[in-house]
Amino acid sequence: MDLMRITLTAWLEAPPLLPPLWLMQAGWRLCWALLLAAGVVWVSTRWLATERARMVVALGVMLWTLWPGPASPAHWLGLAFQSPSLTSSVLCAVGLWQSVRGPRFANVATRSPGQLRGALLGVLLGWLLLGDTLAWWLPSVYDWGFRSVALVVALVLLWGVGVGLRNSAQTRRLRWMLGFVLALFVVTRLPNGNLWDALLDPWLWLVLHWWLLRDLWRRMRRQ
Amino acid sequence: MPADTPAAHASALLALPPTHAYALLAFWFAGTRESASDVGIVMAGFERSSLRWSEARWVVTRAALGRQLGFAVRRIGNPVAWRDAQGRVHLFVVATGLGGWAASRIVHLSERNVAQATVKPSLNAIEFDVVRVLPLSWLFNTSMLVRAAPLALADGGMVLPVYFELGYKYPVALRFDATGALLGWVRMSTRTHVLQPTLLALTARHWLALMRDQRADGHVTAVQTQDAGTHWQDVPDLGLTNPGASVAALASAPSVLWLAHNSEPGSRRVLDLSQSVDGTVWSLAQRLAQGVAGAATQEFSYPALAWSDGSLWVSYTDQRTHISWQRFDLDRAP
Repeated sequence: MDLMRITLTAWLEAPPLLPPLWLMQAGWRLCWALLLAAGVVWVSTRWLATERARMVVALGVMLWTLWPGPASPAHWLGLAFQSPSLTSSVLCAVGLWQSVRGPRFANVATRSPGQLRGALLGVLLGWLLLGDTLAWWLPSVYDWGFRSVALVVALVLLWGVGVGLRNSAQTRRLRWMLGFVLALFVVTRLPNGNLWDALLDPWLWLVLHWWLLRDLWRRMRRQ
Repeated sequence: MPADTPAAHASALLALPPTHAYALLAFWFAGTRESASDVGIVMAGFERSSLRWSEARWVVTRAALGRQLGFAVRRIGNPVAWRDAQGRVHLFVVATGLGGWAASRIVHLSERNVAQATVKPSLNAIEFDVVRVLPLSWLFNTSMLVRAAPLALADGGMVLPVYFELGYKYPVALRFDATGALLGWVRMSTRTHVLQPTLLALTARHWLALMRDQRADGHVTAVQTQDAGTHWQDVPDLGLTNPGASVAALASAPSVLWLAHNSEPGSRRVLDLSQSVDGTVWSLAQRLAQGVAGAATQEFSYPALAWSDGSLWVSYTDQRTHISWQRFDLDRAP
């Protein structure tokens, strides 16, 4: 029992585990490559009629982004925004994968109650982190993202996404995807060792706002 | 100063052990002007045998930093140095993203070859590699800067005072272990107009942080901790005027505290060295530099303090064109 308590205490109080520089460089480039490839395929999906065309364009953009040095857009995007979150990157990877296997760019943003709840949690987490950055309160919330206890909180939230809801395919898919993001973070510590940065970046946070507002607007129009 | 570098600012001092050929190292940023693309970090050492400073040499450039980080760096700023338990020198350097100084990040570098670090026949052997950009903010990791020297801890680790300055300005204490690994951080103040904290250990657990005040009629501001940095409380401002300028503090012995600061309202024309026994009441010990009366554009600012060989060393920006230094032999003081 004591051993278990000591182990648990050591795990909870463990110092931040940050990824080494080489892994950050590779991981950030790959995240930007997925994001840019998905963005280009999504924007040009009307002109990319075949799966092969979408795949060629996606691979071309990814190779360009993964290219070392200032010729890569990742070199400059890193200057401004550092790295996308793992969630954004995995969302883009899923969208890309479906677009090269299906008739068009996949709409991963279908609206199920579980997805709406997940988006709402993301928006709230973003406000909490923004308030922390701007010192609206004293506790250093961002620092908690380096702690093991943040993983426990994230797992509870992941479970909470589907509580009380019908176990729809979309909710299941969201849970699997967020579970994969957490597992990827545990293994790689990307993008920078902080769980909040792995789960949510400011751009994704803005997209979630737009997504929720659009859903709210549609609901109001239906009533 | 290296050749063709008319601008210099924000020096930092690092004391070296008595066995070392150099008493201390000085780092500062230099280039054609502040924020210019050619600004880099320069290093010089004060040699014990010759009692002279070595030739200044570049140790960090913007291009090399970007190459090692894997993404571009727009400009380079304040350096801060620390020596870990193995004798390895660590550098913390401000590097900006998209925007001005308020869009800065802190890049952590460490000395490449620790074996050479214990011998160091020549300062030319000192090279730095990027460890990482410190992850300190969710908002694109932006607007965290470093300015003042870290506070060394008994366990070989240190506390690095940093600050946020995008609109709101507040201080943060970063904790590192004896190898230079980040352990965590804590915000030091509820106020949002204070920046560039400098740390003073009054006892093993009672520390004071003195700060630059961004208000128009500012004074040197202060926070304290009674539990070795776990929790911080705001305390009343000091009686010392602060014209929005960096301050540097150092404890050379218990109850022997030093503070280098600009003391004239509205300008950085006068730089003083004050002394205190408790960190609250300060008296003038020495005027370090004073410009011509009425010439508000004259500047002596951004001081740094270090203790080495029984002496108090002060360096500071002199007219933004070079770095000046002074040494006070306190063992011989009357």
